[in-house]
Amino acid sequence: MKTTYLIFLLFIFIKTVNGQAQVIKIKITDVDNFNPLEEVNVKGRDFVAKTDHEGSFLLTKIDMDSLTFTHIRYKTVTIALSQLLKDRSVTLASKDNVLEIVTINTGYQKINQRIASGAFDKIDLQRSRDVYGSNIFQKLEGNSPILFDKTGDSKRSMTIRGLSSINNTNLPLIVLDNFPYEGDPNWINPEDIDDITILKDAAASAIWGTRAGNGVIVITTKKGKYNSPNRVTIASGVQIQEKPDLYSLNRISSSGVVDLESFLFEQGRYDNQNSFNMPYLSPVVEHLIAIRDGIGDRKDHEQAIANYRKLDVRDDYSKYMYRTAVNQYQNLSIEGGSRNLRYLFSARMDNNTGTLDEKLRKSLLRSYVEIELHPKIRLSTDLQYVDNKFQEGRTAYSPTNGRPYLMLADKDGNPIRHAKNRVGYLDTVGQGLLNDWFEYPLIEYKKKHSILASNMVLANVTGDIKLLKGLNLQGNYGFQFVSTRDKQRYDEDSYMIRNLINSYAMVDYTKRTVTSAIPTGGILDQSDQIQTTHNVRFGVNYEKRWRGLLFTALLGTEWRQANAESAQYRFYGFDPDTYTVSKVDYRNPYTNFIDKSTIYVPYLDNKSLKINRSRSQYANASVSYNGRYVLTGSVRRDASNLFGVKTNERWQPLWSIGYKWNLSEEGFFKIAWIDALSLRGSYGISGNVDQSRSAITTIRYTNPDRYTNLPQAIISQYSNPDLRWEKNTIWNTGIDFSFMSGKINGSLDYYKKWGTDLFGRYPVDYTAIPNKGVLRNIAAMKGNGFDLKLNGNIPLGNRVFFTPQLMINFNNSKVTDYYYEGNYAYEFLSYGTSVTGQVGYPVYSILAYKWNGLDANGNPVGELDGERSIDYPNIKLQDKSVLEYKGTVVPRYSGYFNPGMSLGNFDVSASFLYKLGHVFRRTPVGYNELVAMGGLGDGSGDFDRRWKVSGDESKTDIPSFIYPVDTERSSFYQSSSVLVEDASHVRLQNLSVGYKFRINKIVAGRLFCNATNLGIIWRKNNKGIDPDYLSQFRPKKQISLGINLTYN
Amino acid sequence: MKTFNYFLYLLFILQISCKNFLDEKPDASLKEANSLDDLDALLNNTKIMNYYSMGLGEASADNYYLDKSSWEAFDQHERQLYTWGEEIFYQFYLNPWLDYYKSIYYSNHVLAKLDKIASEKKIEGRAKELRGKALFFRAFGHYKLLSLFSKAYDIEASKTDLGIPLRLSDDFNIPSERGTVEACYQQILKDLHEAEGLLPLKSDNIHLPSRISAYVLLSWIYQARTEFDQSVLYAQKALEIDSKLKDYKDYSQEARYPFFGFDDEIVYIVAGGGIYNMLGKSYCKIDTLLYSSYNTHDLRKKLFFERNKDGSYNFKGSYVGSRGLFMGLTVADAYLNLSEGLIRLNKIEEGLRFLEIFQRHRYDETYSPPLASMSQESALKLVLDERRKEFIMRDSRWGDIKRLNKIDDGLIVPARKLGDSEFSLKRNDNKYALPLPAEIIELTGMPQNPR
Repeated sequence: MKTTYLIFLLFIFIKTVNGQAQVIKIKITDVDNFNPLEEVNVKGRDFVAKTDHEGSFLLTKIDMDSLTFTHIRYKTVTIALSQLLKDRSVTLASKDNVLEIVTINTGYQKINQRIASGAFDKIDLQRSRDVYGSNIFQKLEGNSPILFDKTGDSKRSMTIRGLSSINNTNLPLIVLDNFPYEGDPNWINPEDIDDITILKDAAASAIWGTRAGNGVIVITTKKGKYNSPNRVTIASGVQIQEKPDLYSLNRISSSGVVDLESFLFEQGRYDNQNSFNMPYLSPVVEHLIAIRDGIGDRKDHEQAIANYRKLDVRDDYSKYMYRTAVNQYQNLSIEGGSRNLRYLFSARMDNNTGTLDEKLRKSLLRSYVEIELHPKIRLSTDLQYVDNKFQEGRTAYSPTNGRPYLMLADKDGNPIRHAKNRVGYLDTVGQGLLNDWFEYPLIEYKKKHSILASNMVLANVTGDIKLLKGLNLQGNYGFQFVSTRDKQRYDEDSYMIRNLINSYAMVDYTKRTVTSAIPTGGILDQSDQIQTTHNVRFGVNYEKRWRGLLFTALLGTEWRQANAESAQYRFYGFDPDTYTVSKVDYRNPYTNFIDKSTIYVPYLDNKSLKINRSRSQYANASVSYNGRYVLTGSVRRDASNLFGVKTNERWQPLWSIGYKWNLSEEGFFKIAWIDALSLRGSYGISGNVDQSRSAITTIRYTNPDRYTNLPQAIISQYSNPDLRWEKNTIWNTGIDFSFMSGKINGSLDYYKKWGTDLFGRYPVDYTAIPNKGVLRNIAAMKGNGFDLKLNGNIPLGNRVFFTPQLMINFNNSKVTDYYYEGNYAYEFLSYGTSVTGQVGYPVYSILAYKWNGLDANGNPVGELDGERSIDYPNIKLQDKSVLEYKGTVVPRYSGYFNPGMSLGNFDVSASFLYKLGHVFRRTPVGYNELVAMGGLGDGSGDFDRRWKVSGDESKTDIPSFIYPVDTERSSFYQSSSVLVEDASHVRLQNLSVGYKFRINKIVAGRLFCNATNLGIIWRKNNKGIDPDYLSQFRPKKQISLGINLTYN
Repeated sequence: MKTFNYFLYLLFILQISCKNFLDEKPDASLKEANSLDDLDALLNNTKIMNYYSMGLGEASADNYYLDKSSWEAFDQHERQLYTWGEEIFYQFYLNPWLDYYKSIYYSNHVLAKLDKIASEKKIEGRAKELRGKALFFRAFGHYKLLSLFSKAYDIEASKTDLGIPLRLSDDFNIPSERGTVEACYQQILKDLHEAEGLLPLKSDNIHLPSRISAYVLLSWIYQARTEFDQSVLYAQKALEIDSKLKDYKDYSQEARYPFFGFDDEIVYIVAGGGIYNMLGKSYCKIDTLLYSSYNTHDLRKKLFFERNKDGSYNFKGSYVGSRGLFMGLTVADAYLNLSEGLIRLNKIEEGLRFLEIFQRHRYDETYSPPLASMSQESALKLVLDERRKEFIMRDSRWGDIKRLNKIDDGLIVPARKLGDSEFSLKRNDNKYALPLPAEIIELTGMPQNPR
């Protein structure tokens, strides 16, 4: 064997020596890091060449004046041949504003993009560098294929390529450097990010196994560079944001509430108030009672009621609670490297004050050092420390919280008292022996001190040993420690404590003394959480070149353990000065002062420990020939400590295969304006796991029983032995292209996805199992779509470039299998806010009753057996086929168009975000809730615009108000198609202007200004509703200013 | 080649795994119930086993009325429930069907685990007692369900009348099927008779069953089956263990909740985890005739009721010291069941003697005992009137209406008046068997009760 090698090597040597007579080998490297550059086009008179993987080409001809070197990502240079023959090397400088596509980091390995068969998306971080971000995801909105959803559904707040699961999470896995990151995304320093790559298909993500079904976001941090001078960068920015627009919700007017209360009063709704617990009555109702009972002057009461019509508590919230938010940060980083060392140190401070005067102080520290101990051994350590402190601010406005005319402050700014029981009762109860029993919302926040303090330590140690030629051994250890302490301290005179003491009070009226089971003094509610994660990974890389063949393989195994320990406790009678606490009696029953019911002193202590462990084994290999044909494959299996599952049933195998054909490398490919063209495809399976499930019926001990004080347990999970992991199969085909020396480049992908074994709630006979439904792998869905990405870098003149970027993501998915028994129309209604689970329709779709306007009496008209009808009970009992499918609430088309321009030292860019082809349901008015004085939030404004008199049916779609409320009629209206609107819209997400400058040879910098959330510029609905922020206050624009300085 | 060999060695090393790494529990509080302590802890969960149910029977019965304006303010399902409407449905969070079957499931889970433990070692002592408790809980749940969702017992018709689905295992793959009323009674009796031998005579903790609670329950069940000799037998057995009644003279009439503390008389506690709005203090007004039937010497008149501003009366609160209904078992139950049984068996004098002991604890000192020489008819009327007065807001009146309409001529016609509309239930109406939850019918295909 050895002999063969020797002969082989000798052969190559001789060949090289021979060749030297005719040709000269010239090497081309990157000016910054001296990395060899492949794929550089070399052109001279009658001479064309391309550099190989070692960055070299052979100069076979010397009868030329000069040679021109072009590359997609590097500035074109022309060098005289005489110079070239002298140097025998060329260095190229990278172009500004152009995506650097060299290697792809999957979190396990760096792959040369030329041989990567998966669908990757490298984020152009340059483009969003001016967006103020204390969180890296803020920089990805309008700059990545990630679709951000603002409706508050945590299962799909961030999705890649649509949905993959119905009832499980759709959130992608986030990987920071080598390991999954489960900390707060706010704790990753955006200034430290070197690269973000999104893995979209199976070939890309299968390496992450059961957690990668929804895509993977791989974040790679900066690490300094070998052989580079020390560089210091200082960055600083400030951002302001206006107060939110509290008036942007469709809320009932104060006058409307007064009308409604007066009406309900006449109907006798408040007549039965003989209850001894003295339920609250609003001031309007109290005045009406006084008028009825002839107490006081009727005129005064009427005047008082009329005054309430003019008040709006939003004025007070705007005035007293909200302010302009100001955020700022400073960042310092030092990086550099020598021949066998590279390093980066960074420090960042954030100081944010929110619109409610809430304060956030955040410090991030990081140190990265990598040493080449020996030419064959490299060792690196990455340490991060985070200190985060959040202090709660003032009280936020919540429209559902009470009557809109209940102001916070009087004309002089004094707090107005609010009651939870009848005012006349609270005034006299306890003969003045009790605490004041009113709440003062204007100042209540001053008496609650809420601080959330967190710390994180992140440590990564990586060792890399070159065992033999082509064989590397790599070991990684990752450690994450997060400690969080949430302290909520209430002052003695806070409403919370006054109320608690009063409720437990025992009054002796003869001795005029009060005792309470609740001690005087403050209360401290504290909760602590400690999360510790250990990751260990061993891997072997193998690389073998043989003739034109390149074989690479990666093999490894991984252990992971994540512990979360938490404790919660309450201290009564807490004194913040002396740190003393009081004893309470949790054991014995007390009597509620108002309703005399039996109560116990609230006991909030709790402790828990959760341990997630998992093991993985993976292998990954690729073969390529001449850099033209590539085949890749990966397998992985995962297991976790799912409770009650036998070890051999835990393992879940997943795999993928892929190919790539670099068409433009072929000899026959001779289209001059195409620089690069490649085709690729992949197929594979990844998974989605839910660790919290158990295969057997388990019990959980809870705190001792309050009556008997005996240990007690509940059944926490019902046996579910058949539950498996969800599977996601993805088939992907795509092309990558670059035209006209990189003036236009991009990619187009088409994919199909199948989700199988998806979780679905299977309704169960709760006679047999006391549960609403059990989770089973009964659902399936499929989807398809395409991603188009186009980047331009078009020179318009000297130092003027136009750099537009366009992304179109289309996704269409539907449920193909789901359990949903039922026949009647009402059982299949869906508003898009929860999983529809309807076979043949998208996961989140809207199905509604047909709408036929209002009739002459203001009743909503539906359809029964093809006829107009107001027989609501029978309308809902029709077959489900009568429902109208109105569309999905998940955008079918989404993406961005980001035009940009650089003019010498100036650059300007904008980001237009669009979401098209989806629908939303306007929040309807709920009469049932309104009469109970709930539902005063968004949608309730329709009460003022409802049908009132005959003829209104031609002007409004809002049914008349009838009392008693007909629930069937209301629910028909609320589920009818009249409320559904087209949600398509385009918004201007960002606008930035930057200026780069150089002060002297050492100091260079950049000054920039950015505006975010500039609002909708086009929308399909004509109601002025922002479909992204339904029932939420419209976000106000944020304006920021920043500067970067670099000392080289 | 050498390189490749190295590669293989490494591959081998990497595949070695720690055997027990994945055996750690994902949640420290997660546990399989496999010890007697665990099973005890499940049955000690008073929230599941004792404090549940909303008082569906009471809401359907005739002890109270609602004003039209209150009724109008309720949700449709409560409005329908009040008028014995066509479409009664149960919301998930206040669903008596779920509540009762949940306690039955817990019992079945304990029984299944006990069987597993028994196959390993012999069941004795504490395990026996646990089995007794679980059987009692199961029987109690089944019996309550039977009295709500099935027709009254009829010796002939019960062999074909629809009962409730009996759940005798925690295996939820066994489909639910409705047996006959008779079959249901047989199973309930079987469970109770087995439990009676396993339970301790009395329990200090009245949240747990004991032999006396099993006897009181048996006296109710045999009474429902019109087997009065058996009913009398078990009521007597119960009184042999404990016959102490609460003396109402000891309780303050001024107190908002006169009764508090799980003291004398209560042998087993089941109480509402919440109540329907219609049974809430602000709306639920005591039937006027019923209120006036309490005479002035009757201490219950002031202990049970208080006057509303409009002159009507509301129910102050139950033995649990709150508005929550008390639906458990007491020594008084045994007295009243015994007295009724004896009178029906024509042992009038003896029956009245027990009634007198009971009444002495409910009336003031001026109370005069009933004449011993009464006719059977008037003695029966006396004891039935006493039952009605005693069992107010106890969730048992609904069962009594059904039963008494079946066996006696004295017609009870519950009626509701709302403005000009009137609703009533004629004797042995189908509606006495309340409808099963619609989704249960849909999922299991069991027959619904006709309305």
